Amino acid sequence: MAKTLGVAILCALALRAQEPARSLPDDAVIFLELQDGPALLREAQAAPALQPLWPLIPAPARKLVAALGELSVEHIALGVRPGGVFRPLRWTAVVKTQDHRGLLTQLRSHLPGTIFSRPEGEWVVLGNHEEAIERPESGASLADVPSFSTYRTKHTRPRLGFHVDLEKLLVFRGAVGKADDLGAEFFFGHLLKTAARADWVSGALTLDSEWRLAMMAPGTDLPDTHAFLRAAKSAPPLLVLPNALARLSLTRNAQLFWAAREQLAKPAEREALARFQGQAETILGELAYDDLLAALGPTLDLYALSPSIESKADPLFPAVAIVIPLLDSGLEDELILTFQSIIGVANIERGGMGQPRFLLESADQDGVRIHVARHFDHHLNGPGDPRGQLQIALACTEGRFILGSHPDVVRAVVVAARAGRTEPRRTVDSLQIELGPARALFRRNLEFLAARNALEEGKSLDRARTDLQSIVGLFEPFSRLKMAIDQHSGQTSVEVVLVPNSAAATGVDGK
Amino acid sequence: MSSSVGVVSRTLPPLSRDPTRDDVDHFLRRTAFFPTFELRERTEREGLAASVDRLLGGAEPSAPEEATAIGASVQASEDVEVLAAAWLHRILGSPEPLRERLTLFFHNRFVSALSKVQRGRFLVEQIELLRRLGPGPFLPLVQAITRDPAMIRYLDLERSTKASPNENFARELLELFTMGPGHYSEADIREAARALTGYRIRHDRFEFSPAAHDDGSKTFLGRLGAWSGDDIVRLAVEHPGTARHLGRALLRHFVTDAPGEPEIEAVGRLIVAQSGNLRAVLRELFTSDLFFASAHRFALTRSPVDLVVAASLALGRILPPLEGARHLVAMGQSLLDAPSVKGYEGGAAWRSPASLLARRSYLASLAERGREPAGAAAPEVSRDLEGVTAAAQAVLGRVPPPDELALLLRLARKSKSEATSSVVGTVLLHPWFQVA
Repeated sequence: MAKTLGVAILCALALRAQEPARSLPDDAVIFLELQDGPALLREAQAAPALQPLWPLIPAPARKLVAALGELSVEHIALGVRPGGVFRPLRWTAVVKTQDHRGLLTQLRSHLPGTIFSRPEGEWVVLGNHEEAIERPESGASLADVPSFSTYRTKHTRPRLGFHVDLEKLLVFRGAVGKADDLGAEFFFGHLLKTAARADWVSGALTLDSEWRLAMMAPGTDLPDTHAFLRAAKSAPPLLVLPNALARLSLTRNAQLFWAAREQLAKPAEREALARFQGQAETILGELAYDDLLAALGPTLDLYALSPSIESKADPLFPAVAIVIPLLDSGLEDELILTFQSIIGVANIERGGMGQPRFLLESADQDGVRIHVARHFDHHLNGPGDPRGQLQIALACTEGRFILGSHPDVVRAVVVAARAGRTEPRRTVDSLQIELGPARALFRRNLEFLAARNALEEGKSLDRARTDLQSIVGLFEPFSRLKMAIDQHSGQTSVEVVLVPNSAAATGVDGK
Repeated sequence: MSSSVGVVSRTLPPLSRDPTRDDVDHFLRRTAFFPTFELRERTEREGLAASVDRLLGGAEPSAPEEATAIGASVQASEDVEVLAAAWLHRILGSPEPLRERLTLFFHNRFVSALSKVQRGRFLVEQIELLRRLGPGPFLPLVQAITRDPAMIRYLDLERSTKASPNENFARELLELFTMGPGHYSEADIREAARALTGYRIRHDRFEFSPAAHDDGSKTFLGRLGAWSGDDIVRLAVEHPGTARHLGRALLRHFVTDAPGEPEIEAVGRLIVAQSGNLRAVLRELFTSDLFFASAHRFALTRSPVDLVVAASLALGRILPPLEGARHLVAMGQSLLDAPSVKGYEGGAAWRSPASLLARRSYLASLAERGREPAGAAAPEVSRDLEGVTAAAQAVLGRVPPPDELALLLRLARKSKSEATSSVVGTVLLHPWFQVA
């Protein structure tokens, strides 16, 4: 009997060595784990990017973090569940450490209430309730929960991992997943639908050559109203622009979005959309509105080029281009004509108000005609006039319709498209920002942004300056931000990657 | 009207009693947008005449560091909403609210609009000019406006040449800036336009081009001479119609929506007697029986700017100026971008159905916010009948009938916020807050 019990205990310990969640209750709502916790905490405390965040954490919690950082703790797995109506949360932790006594001393001096513990070799089971340490080893554990298994399959030994049971956490989900307006549906519809329906969310943070936060949640297929968000096989690859400041790529089908507008839009928005359609049809002339939508491909990409910081314009804007696949090359001429019509109408209106009109001109780049509407130089208030940066430019090439805020960015897109400089479109949506140039641009515009922020928020100029600098300071140690949203196999995943400056300098991602 | 500063016995009979608290509140609603607790105490201590001088400021306007820095940072943006917000920000923090109210008055007399001028800096500099010269003699102000780049561009003066004089500026000089219709002929406009040729903008500054100027003889208002632009301005300002025209506008801005003829005549005489010196005119006007007459209490419809600033002061905190500027547009007043050279009609015109809806919507949005006030008119008010009555007295200057008070109390109790400002905010919704 004793031999059998000994084998059972050894088996249990062996199992826990592989999976500490076996000692956590299966009804844990929040699961959190840390590998090599002290080192992670020390790194976090030392990371310049996190410095502004520390004051936000309550002092007792900060002290506990600092104390744990001094202990030799290899692994912490924590499960939290509701304690019942008007009762505190119940937590259970499984900790692998050489210093059980030191750990308990620190916890008891920093945490309120009684801490129960049960040592098991190198491990110790802890909790703020007796049941935590009396739990039979043979009972159902968090490790047996299917969604946790999915998490574990994806993240075997994350530095920091989490799994949250949304079904139990968000009892009242009425407001979750509701878009405020049509714009929110267009841009975030997939995330909102996932937030409204997902039973759980899990993720992991890795702090190696890149800081990577990967999250996933189950999501049923998007409803027909949101078919415009589904990835399409016909999506063209992304263009690679040298010296791009930012790139945003979205998988969106304009035709399907327009078809679903009645169900998605609020009454006031429907009126605005109807007005828009009426105006568009007037300007489009012989080109039918529906034909135009049908001719637009299923993606929408934005490319931003960094302006010259030496420019005298104040404030200084990046040049941005929207690129949409054009499925029917026969429409190119119609689109150019529409562009010229819009500028013509705007000129009539501006002329009537005594305002300067736009000059229409065009130039070739790699055999592609770029059409530009801009202010006459003599209408601008010298080189500092910010309006000089707005030179609306349009081109069509390689099955793409390109509309930019400046001919420079349209030229860059044309060159990349003509040269076939592309990379595969790996996810439904993605964003990449070069943080170095973005910071330089931010600093260049700081006074304007701070003044505007002060006027916008009704705060002091100093406070606005400090707030903005704090936000930018968070990203100071990083050279690149990447974000990707994907949906496949019934799961939605979001990945945020920050590339540290040193990693970028050594070419982590091959650039 | 003569440009020389001479003076001066009183033209308007002074207030024939010691000012009561109601008098002081009335005075501050017109000179400082709203009678805050602090302003009321100080005015009672210093007296009305000294308060006019303090609220108007010294010879040079004060330049609050923060407002100046914000103005400098955004002026190149050419964004009218941001520029208007910067001005609103300055008004809200100004220690010289009367100077700002006077600047708003002249901004609606000497209208220029960014949509035509297309140069934010010019507009900002024009406002500064009005702020600096507004409280002084009228003639130098009009002469400076004639040389102001924003005005030159807005009224096409830079296109005016000897061969082809442009009449826009001359017409508005006579019709709007000085004497008003009925005192001049089309021939006077043509002759004035000839005299005002040669006005240019070079390197963002006024420049006089003798080559483009018509220096021949002109007959203006029946007088023959080789009149220059400055001569024309002087003759127009000195015309008796100007003081009356200006007096009527001052009364409509500071005293009542509908001034009577005797009052217009009286203020016209005051302007002449004070040689057009606006500081002296305002000092006498704001200490006169005419100003404090019972018919003039609550007889002035708050312009959208007045409403936004007064609401902010009533709540005791600076509301986001950009939000305020956006609401101004919805209420029908675009600072720095008036729809026509005539400016805004003002008065009862601010109470059109559409404007009233926008005004109420703005005030309702304030009422729903629940931050604690700092220095509000009613610093401590409870959420009961006594508190609402005190708030109404402080914010509206009078106490509404019992049934209306009961309604305000019900609204205040509905507010999610426990803050005092929610009671004050609720009182702002009363129709009496629309007038000052």
